[in-house]
Amino acid sequence: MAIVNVKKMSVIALRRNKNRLVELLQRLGKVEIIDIKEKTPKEEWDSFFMSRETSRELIELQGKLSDIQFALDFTARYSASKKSMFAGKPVYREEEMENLSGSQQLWDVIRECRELESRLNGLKSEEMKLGNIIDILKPWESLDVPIEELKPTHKVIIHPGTLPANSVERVKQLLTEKAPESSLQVISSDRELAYVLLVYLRSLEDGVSEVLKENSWSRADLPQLEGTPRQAIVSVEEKIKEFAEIRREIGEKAVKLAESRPQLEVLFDYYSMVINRVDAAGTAGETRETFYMEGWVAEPDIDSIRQAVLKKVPEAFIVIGEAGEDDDVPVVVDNPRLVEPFELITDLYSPPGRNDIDPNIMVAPFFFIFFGMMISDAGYGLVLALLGFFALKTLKPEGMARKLFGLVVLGGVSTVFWGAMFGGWFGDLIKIPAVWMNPLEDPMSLLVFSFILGVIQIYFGLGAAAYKNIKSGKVLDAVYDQGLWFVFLSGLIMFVYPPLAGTAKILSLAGAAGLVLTQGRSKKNIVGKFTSGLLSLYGVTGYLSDVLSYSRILALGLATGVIGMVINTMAKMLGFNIIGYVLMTVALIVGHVFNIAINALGAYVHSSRLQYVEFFSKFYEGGGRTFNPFRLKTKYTNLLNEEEI
Amino acid sequence: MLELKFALTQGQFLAVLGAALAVLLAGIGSARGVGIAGEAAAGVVTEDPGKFGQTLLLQALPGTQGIYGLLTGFVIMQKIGLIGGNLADISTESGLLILAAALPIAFVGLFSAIAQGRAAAAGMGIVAKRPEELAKGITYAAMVETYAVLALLASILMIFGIRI
Repeated sequence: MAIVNVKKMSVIALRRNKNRLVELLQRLGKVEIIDIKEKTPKEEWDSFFMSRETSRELIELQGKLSDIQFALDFTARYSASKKSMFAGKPVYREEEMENLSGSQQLWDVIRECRELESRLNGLKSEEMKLGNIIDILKPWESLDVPIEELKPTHKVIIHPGTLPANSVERVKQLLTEKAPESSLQVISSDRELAYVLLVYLRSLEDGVSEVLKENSWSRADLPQLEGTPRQAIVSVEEKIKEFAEIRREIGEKAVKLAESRPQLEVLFDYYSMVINRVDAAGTAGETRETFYMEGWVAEPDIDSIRQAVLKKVPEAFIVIGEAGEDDDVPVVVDNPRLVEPFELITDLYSPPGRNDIDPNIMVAPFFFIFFGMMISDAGYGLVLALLGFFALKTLKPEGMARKLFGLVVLGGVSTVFWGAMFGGWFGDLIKIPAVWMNPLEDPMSLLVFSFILGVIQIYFGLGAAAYKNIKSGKVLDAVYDQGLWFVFLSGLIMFVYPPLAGTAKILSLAGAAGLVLTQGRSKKNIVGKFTSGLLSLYGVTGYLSDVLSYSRILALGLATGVIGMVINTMAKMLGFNIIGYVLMTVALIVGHVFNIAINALGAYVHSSRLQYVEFFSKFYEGGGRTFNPFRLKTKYTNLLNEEEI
Repeated sequence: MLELKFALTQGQFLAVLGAALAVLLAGIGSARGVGIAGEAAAGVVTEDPGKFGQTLLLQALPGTQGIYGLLTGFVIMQKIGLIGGNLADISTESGLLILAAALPIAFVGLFSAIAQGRAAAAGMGIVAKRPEELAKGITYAAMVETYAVLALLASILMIFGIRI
């Protein structure tokens, strides 16, 4: 339906104009570049083109980009100004961006960011080291001897060390027996270890070490510092305090550097853009004087692209060809502006494949109706539509985001409509009578209405499947697989309306008979044909559950309305004096915002599901690849584009 | 003892019990489901804090059963006049009917929310590895929710239909 033919465009031009062409293509944003090198065997490539490695330029540019990225990440922590969510992106011309990229001051900022980061890292590891020293010294705090004096002399040996806490007494005992001229002083102890100072005469070394070995003694290496352990701890702690000061200083500098963020963002976009360009240029096959490139283009764009290219690169030779059978062709869909947002729903499932029909034109009205009915509150609809509209106007989003906000606007409009029909304005806050009916009073009619909508969509699905069969020349399949079901199901439905019961009987019997006769046609023998035919009637349960699934439209609609009422009732309980009125207003706002959020999510999820499971299962395969044209991609800024067509 | 037995067969008590069960069981289910999904979400966000929004969306999905339970409870409370302050006289029979009507959303809510929480937690893996396929993870979780929606519908239609 609305799938656009995609063709292969090949261009040959002079090598010196290569960058010019690539730049133009990026600004046009209508061509998906094919990496021909990837799919060409090496020998074949070498027989045509000069061999070519990944350019040094690219590596250099990527290095710069990652530097900028680093600076942006680093300064993000120190940036004072929070951007408002609805602030639009600033607009730049490419020349302005280029000038900025030459500014030494910005590269200095990036260098300084690196420096500050490495200083911070240095501080961190130094701090850890000092922390460790304190941990080591802590148990020795009450030792009144300067650390530097804990050294053996030629007569006496002094060792600080640890023993298991429970063996201290035993060691003391053993030492008095084996080495009377020794002393074991417990400095401190915790649950496991005792920290002790051992002093003994050098002549007793053998006896002492025997005792120690048997009792898991381990020598403590105190850090080489001056003064008693307590003094050492104090001086280390002072050093750590100084670090805090240094840190603050670094922080101040970083805040100053963060002021350059807007320019850094521009720089980031500029280099991403240039890298994309170099990447694209890298796909070209080159000879000494010329180059060759290929790309996918949508058929309607061909003329304008050709003209634009010939204007910039007059000698270019352009060939338009059909895509080959095994080419990985992207899919382009073209829909009216109002349908475009709904492409998001389909794309999130899977973009249409080459042989699919574009379902968007059918998804759009059903999703629109379902979404509105599932929220069915005119007040909420207004909020959604206005939010979406505001976002579209101020953020000027592109691609998926643009479709998403478009969807919010359209969904909001539908919600206003259905809300008015059912008389829901912020629950029952504003009492405006329903244009059609109040679902709480007559849920059954609305349930039937939901089923009718379901039947209509399923018929559309069958119709689409039939169309697909006919398009690929399988007219009989369309008659058997969809036509007969159509007859059978219609017959069954007519039973609901008694005056039509006669016709209903004929139709359903004819349909059923037809199905029994045809659905086994792929089987070889007559018994197999008949049994598969008969079994196919079981498929009616599938259709039944499909239709019943649409009851969620009613359920979710009721849910929104009742939760709205709950919020209103609870809020009104607060309103009996002035403070109460303030609280009531707060409760109303918070409650309804919550209700909008949860129900908009629910309505989106369940409307999508009805498309994916109930509708797409009838005819849609998906599995296509979205067209991803080579274009200007910017994250923080919008580029003024003179070439847009 | 006799008094307690009398109170337990009172229509009003039975109706309130129905409302309480709907809120209680569906609420427990949602709490568990959202919890399960949240644990997985936290794992994803440790690796990439930028995915907070996406994971939150997925985590919110098993939360609806609790809301459906509250909603059913509220409809019952309104029906028996508990909210307006004029508790209506309800026969034991009507009370039992209301209690029965509350059961679908109470039990389906309880179990579907937990199952949906699991599906959502598995969907977090999609967010971690292929964030662009978030919609598919959401759809898997929403497949479970279908049954909670159907139960809600059944409960509400029953409650609307009961005359007191």
